[in-house]
Amino acid sequence: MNRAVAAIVVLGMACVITTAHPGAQGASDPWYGLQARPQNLDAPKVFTGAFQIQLPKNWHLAPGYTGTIFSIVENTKKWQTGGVITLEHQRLLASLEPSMMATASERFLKDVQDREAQGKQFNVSLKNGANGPLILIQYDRPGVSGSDDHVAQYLIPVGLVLYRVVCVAPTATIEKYRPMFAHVAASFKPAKAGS
Amino acid sequence: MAKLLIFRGDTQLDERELTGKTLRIGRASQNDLVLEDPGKGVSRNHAEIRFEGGRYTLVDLGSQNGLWVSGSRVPSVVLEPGVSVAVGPYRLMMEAPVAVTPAGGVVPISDLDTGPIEPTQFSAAVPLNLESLGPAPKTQDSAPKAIEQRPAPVVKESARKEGTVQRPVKQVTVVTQGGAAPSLNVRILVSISALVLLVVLLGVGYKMTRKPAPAAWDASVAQALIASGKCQEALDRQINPALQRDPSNQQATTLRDECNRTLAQVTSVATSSIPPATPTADDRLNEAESLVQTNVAAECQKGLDIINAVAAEDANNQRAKDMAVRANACLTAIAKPGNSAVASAEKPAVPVSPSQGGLDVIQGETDKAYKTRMGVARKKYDDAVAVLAEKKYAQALNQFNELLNEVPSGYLELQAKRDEARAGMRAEGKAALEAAQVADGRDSFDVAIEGYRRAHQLDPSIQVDAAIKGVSDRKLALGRKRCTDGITDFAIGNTSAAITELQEAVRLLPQSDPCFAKAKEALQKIQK
Repeated sequence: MNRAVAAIVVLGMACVITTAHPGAQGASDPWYGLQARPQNLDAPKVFTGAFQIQLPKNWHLAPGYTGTIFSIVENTKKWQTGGVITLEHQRLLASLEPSMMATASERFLKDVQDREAQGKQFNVSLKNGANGPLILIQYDRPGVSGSDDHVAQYLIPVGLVLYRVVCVAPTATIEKYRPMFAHVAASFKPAKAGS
Repeated sequence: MAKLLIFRGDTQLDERELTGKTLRIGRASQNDLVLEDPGKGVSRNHAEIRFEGGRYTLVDLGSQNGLWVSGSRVPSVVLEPGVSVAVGPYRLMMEAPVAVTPAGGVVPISDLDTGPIEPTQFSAAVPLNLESLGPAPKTQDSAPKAIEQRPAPVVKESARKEGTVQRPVKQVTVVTQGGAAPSLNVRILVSISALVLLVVLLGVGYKMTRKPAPAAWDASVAQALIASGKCQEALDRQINPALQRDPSNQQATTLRDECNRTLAQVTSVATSSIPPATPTADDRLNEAESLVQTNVAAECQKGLDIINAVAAEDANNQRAKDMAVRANACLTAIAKPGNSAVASAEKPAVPVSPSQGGLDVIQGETDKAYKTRMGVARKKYDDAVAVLAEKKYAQALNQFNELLNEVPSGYLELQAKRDEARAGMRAEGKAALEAAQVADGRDSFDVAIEGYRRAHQLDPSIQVDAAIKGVSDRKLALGRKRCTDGITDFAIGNTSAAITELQEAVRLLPQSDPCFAKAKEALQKIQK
C-alpha cells in the first residue's frame, strides 16, 4: 500500500516537473517543445561553446559561413527533397526586451514577406522559451521539387545576438517533421547570454 | 495862507506857502518846487499848482508817472486838506488849518470868516531846490535842522504875532530874499560854509553820476516790502527803477498802484488822526481767499500775490501754503485753452440717468469732474461694444465686467451686451468642443487637448476633464509604442524607421517617462 502511494506521488511530481519545464510544453504546443522520448535525435552536441542544441540522427551536417552557422540535411534518395535545418545568427544593435518582441515579430514577418514574394499563409506567433520569449514565423513557399515547402523560423534573441533556427520540409509531409522541428528549437540553449 | 506840505514816506520834508501864482513842480531845476528823484518817478516837468476859482488845483503836465489820489491816477486834483497826492515818491498835501479861539479853544477853520483870499496877500514864490539842500533826509531825526535855523519869512512872523494860526506840523522854513545884511564875521562864516558845502556837493554829485547798477526786477522782493508796510521803500528800490528801465512792466505798474493806494490810505488815516490798523496775516489771507473764490484770473492773481507776501513774511504759515495751492490751481484751470466755462464747471454735478450713461455722483463732485467720469465710462463701454462687434466675445465680456464695477445698475445696454457676449462665448465653446473632438479622432493630441480646454474656458458648462484625460492617456500610450517600436527597429537595424519612431516618441512622451530617455539615447546612437 505504502509503495503504491509513494509511486503515485513520485509519478505526480514527475509530471509536474515535466510540464513546468518550458521545453517540455511541446505536448501542448505542436511547434515548440521537447519530446518526452525523442527517438530520432542525438544527444546534445556543443558547437563553439556558445550554445547547445539537439539534432536529428543520421542527417548530414554541413558547416556554414558568415551568418550561417551550420545546416543539417535529411538523407533522402537521389534528387528527393526532405527536411533541412539551418542555424543562422545576426548581431543586434540593442537587446530585444520582452516588451519589444511583439513589434519585433511584426518587423521580422514583414521582412520575410518582403523577401519571399511567392510565400503564402504567413503566420507569426510568440513563444515562451527557456531563455525568454521567441518568435515563430511560418509560411509555405514553392519548393525546388515543384511542390510547396513549409518553413518554420524560430527567432531566438540572446543578448545582442539573434539566432534563427530555420526548419524546412515539404508541406505535404510536414506533420512527420513537426515534432522533430519543435524539439530541435526547444533544445537550443545558449551557453551564456550575448555570446 | 494856504500851505503845501511835501512828504516823502512818513517824513515831512518841506512846506510851501501858496501865493496864488502858478507853482511848477518837477525834477528839473527850473521848477518852482524841485522834487529830486534819482529814480525818475518824478518827471522833469511833472505838474503845476494853479489858483483857479479860489481853489488850488494840482494839474498833471503830461508826466510819465502822473498824479495819484487814493490809488487812482488823476489828470488834476483840487488841493484840499486831507487829500494826499502822490507825485513819484513824494506826497503833496494841503495843510489842514485850524483856528485858535481867543479862549484858547480850537475851532474848525471853516467856522472862521476869513473873507476872500486875494492873490496879493501871497509873497513871491521861492524855489525849493532839494538838490541844493543835499541828500534827502532818511529819517525824522535827520530832518534839515540847518533849514530850521534859518530866519523865518516875514509873513510867517506876522502870522505868529497874530497868534491866530497854529500849525500841527513841523515848522520848516526857507531862506527868503530881503533879510538883514550879515556882518563881516557872518560873511566869512558863510563863505567858509559855502566852501564846505561846495565840497560836499561835489562829492554828492560825483556819487550821483556814478549811479549804482539798479537791482534786477524782483517782484517778490517788492511784494514782500509792500506786505511788510514798506511801500515807499518798495517804490524807491524796486518798482520805480523797474518802471524806469521798462515802462511797460505791468507787474511793476500794478505794484506801484497798489503802493500808491496804500500810501494814500496811510496818509488819509494819518490825517484823520486815526492810528493805522495794520492788517494781520489772517486778514490778508481772508481777503486773498475772497479773491481766489471769484475764480477770475486777475482776482486769483491778486489773491496769489497777497498769499505770497504773507508767505514771504512767515514761511511756516500753513494756511498761506494751502491757499497758494488753490490760487495756483485757479490760475492753471483758467489758463487751460477752451476753458471759458470754468465757472460752470465748478457747479455741483447734476446726476444723469444710468440709462443715458449717467453715473452715481460722488459727494462734493463738480459737474466737470462728473462729466469727465461719465466720458471715461462711456468710452470703455463703446470700446467693449466694438470688441463685441468683432465677435471677440471673451474679451468683450471681460471689458463689460470691468465696467460693471464702475457704473450703476441699468447703465446703458450693459446687461444686454454682457448676455450677448456670453451667448457668443457659449457658441464658440461648442465650436471649440467639436473641433477638439475631430482632432482627438485624428490623434492630434495637443490640438485636441487645447481645444477641449478652450471649449471649457468659453463655456464652463462643457465638462472636458474626462476627454482631456483620455487624450492624454492615448498620447502617452502612443508615445510609448513609438518609443518601443523605434528602439526595436534600432535594435534590428531598421535605422530609418527607428529615427522616425524615436523622434515621434520624444515628441509625445513626457520627459519624466522612462522610455523618453531610452528614445533619446537610441537617437544619439543612431546619429553616431
